Amino acid sequence: MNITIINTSNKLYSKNDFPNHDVTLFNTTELKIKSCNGCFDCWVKTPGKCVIKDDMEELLIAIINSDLTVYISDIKVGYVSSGLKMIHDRTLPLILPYMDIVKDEVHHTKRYEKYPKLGLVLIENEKISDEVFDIIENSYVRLSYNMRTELLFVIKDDNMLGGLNNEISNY
Amino acid sequence: MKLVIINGSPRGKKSNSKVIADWIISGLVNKIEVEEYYAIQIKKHQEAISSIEDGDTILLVFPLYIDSVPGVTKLFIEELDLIKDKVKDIKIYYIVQSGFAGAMHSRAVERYLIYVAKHMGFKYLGTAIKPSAEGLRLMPAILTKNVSDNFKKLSKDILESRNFNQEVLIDLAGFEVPPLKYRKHIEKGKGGKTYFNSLLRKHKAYPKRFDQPYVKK
Repeated sequence: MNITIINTSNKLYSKNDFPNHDVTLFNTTELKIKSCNGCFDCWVKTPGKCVIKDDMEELLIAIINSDLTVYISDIKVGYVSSGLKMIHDRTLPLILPYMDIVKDEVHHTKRYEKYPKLGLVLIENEKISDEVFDIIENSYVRLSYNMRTELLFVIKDDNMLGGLNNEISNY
Repeated sequence: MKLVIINGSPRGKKSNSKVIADWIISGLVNKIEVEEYYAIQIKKHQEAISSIEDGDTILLVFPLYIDSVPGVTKLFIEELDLIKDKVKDIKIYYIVQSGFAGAMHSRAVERYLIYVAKHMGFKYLGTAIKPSAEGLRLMPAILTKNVSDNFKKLSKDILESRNFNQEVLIDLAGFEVPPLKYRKHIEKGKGGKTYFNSLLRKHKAYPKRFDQPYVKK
């Protein structure tokens, strides 16, 4: 099983933090990832490829070739960080421009046969109220529909990722 | 008091959000001072935020990106947090426009926007949701008249500092989830094909449209 962990929080992790699992790990504060500019070139000029040349391509390859992708984020103003949201915006090349019906709603058609399940770890750098947790969880259910997959878990974890290691083991 | 418009689109001045902001501005008929800023101009965030003074109104208009705020819009919200409790009597409106048909896509982020207003201590006066908006910037005025008239009605609410008119919001939002007839149309493979195929052909990329460049074989 391939697991990709994309850590966007300010704390850096190493593979040693996941002693029992073979993971592909990114600390994105050490990478250069620009904002999506909404050009749609990944749909209509260079199908499937983003035209922005930075470290995002490496993440896209790791995401689409994984069985489970876990995102780690700080909480900023009651939501995941802008750093993480910019990464999600840049995953547009993974789907097609065409439309499909998913759960009675309009969503984009799959570009790939298989998409990784999603997990989200929220670092409790500020208190996460039930309301905030619910808003984020709901938002990631929506994200999972859009990215043609399913959300496996959202957990709060400020304890050396013990919770995440459990989730991966259970998976 | 003035209106500070924050355009959250990654496309900046060439965005559908800009088209909508212009309709709002024209509906204000010069009765209020307006300042416009763009979230994509990250270096100007501080200028935008320090321009917000006691009694001002904020309008945040942005495109839905993966059923949420675009990353640069979120960055702006994080920087806005710097003036929390430092300004008084601020009112805030939101406009969410999306390419998808169906307002349901925008309801999750609407909840977050209400949270942001509450967190900042701003008076929340409503969120207008406009689905199927990707073509607005390309369409002739005659085809967008109903939509532009609706946004100009919302301008009146902004001038009066009252809640966005519910009937106008319902008209703009249209259906929450697509009706059966629409879904069947999409299921027959007709969703967005004409538009995107014409662009793919224009860029000589049509034969490569299903490419899977990132998968390891």
